[in-house]
Amino acid sequence: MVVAVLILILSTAMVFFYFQAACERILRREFDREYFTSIVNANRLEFPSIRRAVVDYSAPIEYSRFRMMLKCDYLALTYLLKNAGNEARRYSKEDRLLMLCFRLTVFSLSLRHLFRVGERKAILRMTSILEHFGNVIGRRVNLAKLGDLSASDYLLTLD
Amino acid sequence: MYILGIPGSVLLGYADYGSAAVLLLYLLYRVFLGRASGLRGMTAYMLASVVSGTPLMWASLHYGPRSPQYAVSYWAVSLIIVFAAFLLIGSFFRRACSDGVHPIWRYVRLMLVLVFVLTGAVSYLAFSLRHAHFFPYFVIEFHQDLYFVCLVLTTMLYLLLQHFESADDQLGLLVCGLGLGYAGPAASLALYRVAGGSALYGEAAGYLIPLCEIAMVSIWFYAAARVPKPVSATEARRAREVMPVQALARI
Repeated sequence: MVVAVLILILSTAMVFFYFQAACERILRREFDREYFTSIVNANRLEFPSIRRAVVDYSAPIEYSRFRMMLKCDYLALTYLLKNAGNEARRYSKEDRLLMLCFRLTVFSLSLRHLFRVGERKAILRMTSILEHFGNVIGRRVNLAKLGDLSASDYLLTLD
Repeated sequence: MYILGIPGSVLLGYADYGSAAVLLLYLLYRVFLGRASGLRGMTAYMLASVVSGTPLMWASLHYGPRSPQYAVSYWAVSLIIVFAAFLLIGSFFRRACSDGVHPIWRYVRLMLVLVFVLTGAVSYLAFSLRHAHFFPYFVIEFHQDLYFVCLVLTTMLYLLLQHFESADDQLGLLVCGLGLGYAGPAASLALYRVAGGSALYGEAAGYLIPLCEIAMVSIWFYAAARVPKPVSATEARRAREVMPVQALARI
């Protein structure tokens, strides 16, 4: 019985560990430039300011406010992910995996807040998932905007 | 839970088999195009998994999931799959050691052989103390031990990748998928055992195991389709050696 309990604890921890590691590896994928800034500005998203507050200014964690802001950004971005420049109008496997990761991180943030441990880390992970979504949408919009244009066509549109 | 008169766990099992078949088709397509660098081990594993799963599906439909014929084919197929997984982990270890160039590969290879022989010996000892019949008890014992060994080896492989600070994101994702595919079922079965074999937890395990396997297949699919394998030093050197010869041949 002791061995079974030990295996249960270790393997459950490993499930979460591998899941998180897989998500982090997907998030580490680099984009050729920061596409998310235009999406953030156009939709007045707040996750970059939350990240700045947490990383640069070491501001105290305002749990309920930050959580609400991040969840609102998540709703906006997932809507755009499905509907903006997406002919199939459905999420990709990668999107779904990261959406699940975001929800699990929201749950983990509630637990961390309850026990007052590592809230900052969970918030930063949430902002990096949102940034990835922003980059995906931004790149897609960029491709849709410039997809059929050659370099000279593009220059002509600047008049 | 029943959907169209079929238990939900059985439907999930079919979905698991279907997703594995789709991944196999994709990998075979890549092999056909000659763009399967670093994916051959995974293709062989998926081929073993899907091909050996076919008689299991047939036994389930023909004899029913509670028949002894199904039980025998289940354990035989599981043993083939775990054995294939052991070989796959070996190929991942080789890839992690710069395609066998790193000096540590010699020790890793020796360790893998020793671990396999030891697992077989321990399973045989544990089996011979309790049972008189070879099959299926030895198969079950050996399967469980090898399964646990694969889980431990996957974790060691992950730690090795961290230690080498590997830039091979594709391999990292493949290992994460494998870890998820092993840790999930191990946790489900341990929960079932801790709960004293309760039917409720047994049913939960019936849902969780195919779900974890579908997650593994999805991560592998993503890694194969979207994350390129970085060119290793050996491949680059080989390309440099081959190029002038090909150029001369054209002349």
